[in-house]
Amino acid sequence: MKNNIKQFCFPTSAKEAASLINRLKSKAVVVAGGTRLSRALLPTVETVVDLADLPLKHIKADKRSLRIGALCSIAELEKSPLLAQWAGGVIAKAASHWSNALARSMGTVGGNVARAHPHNNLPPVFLALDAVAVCTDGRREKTIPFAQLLEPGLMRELGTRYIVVEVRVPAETRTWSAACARLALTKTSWEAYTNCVVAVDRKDGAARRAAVVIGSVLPRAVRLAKAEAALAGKPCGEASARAAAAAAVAELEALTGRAEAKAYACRTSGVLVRRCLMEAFQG
Amino acid sequence: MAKTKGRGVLKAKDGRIAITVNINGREQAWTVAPGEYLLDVLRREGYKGVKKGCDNGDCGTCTVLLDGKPVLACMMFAAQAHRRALLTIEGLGTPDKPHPIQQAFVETGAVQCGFCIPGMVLATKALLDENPDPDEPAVRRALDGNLCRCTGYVKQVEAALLAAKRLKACKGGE
Repeated sequence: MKNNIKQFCFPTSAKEAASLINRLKSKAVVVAGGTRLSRALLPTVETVVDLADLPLKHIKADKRSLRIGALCSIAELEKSPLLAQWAGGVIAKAASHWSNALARSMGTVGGNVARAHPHNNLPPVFLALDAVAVCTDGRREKTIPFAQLLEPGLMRELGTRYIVVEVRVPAETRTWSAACARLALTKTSWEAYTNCVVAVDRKDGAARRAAVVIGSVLPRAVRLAKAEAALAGKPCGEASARAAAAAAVAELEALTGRAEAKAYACRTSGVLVRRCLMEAFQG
Repeated sequence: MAKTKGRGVLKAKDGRIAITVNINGREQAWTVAPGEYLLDVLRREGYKGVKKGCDNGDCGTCTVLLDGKPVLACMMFAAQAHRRALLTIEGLGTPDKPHPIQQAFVETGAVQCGFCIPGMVLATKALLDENPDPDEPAVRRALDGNLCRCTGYVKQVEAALLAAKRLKACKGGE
């Protein structure tokens, strides 16, 4: 039992929720799905701001972007017909890889993004698809690219200053070929050795643009620029996939400082990059 | 202090919070400590079918349906269930008149020690409410958060498929 809690608030808008946390500061905590936070509250917390009533459960597309509400559960992403058609269904597939059915039923997009633990499945896929997060501090909305959002400084502000309202994925990614894969002890293990997402914009059999993202290996998901460069403008085939995989391993080894404990994760990341690229090329 | 609409604000008085919950179709008013977990309150209020296993969100024995969706009662504060609908195993059937899912679990021999079964049955109900005609992989996936240490899950999967078949037949005959 958490004896320090004194009140629960159930805001009905993101603006209201953000105003609350900005007013109460370290005495408040936001809870969305609650798969992690309810067991890890800081002793300063006196107010729980439960976001369950916010009208942020949409998955829709307009001319400019795919819009995913922050309160959508991971299970809703997994089952969405729209997401099944978007970028080879990579968002739905990444959602389906996350933990077990109960965690997917409770966990939300906002929580997965705002508490971007390195093992979370959604930040890598949103990073690969050039997504942005729309956040509010109660006064104005701010659009933050995922590459910035995952930086530690900004990450600390999510849930303490900003509420994530929705994730927007650019409309042009709808036709991209993408794939994801993870390597973990079991299918339902939340923690993974490595988690790979690739997205390729193809034209005339060549990669016009590619994104290669690895999660779980480093403290946050990263795009591998050298692996992406190995693909740019190259024909979509086994040779470029192998070259990108080798570049990915070299880049990861450099980023991990060639730490012995990460050697296996780096090598297997290369395998996943190659496999994901071959899947994306054939998609 | 904070002002909100909808379910509003629940503020502790003398270290207690008053909540109302629709549980198994009946409105109940409870007084709980603000930091109490739903699992502990349910068991204290007599809903002993909700089991305390890992108490950490890993085993699924405390599964209940919150507004029709499966959730882990050990991961939620009781106050979060304020003005929402809960279904526990006690609301599904009785020993004299078991729910078709419960009957299927008994008939297929899916119950050994029984500790995980309330969670399994409710996870099965959530699946069949959404997908009345699941295949075996869908059943296995829906039950992958409910751990059983007696069996290899084969009988529970058979039970869920049998229940689906019977419920479909019932609906077809209506």
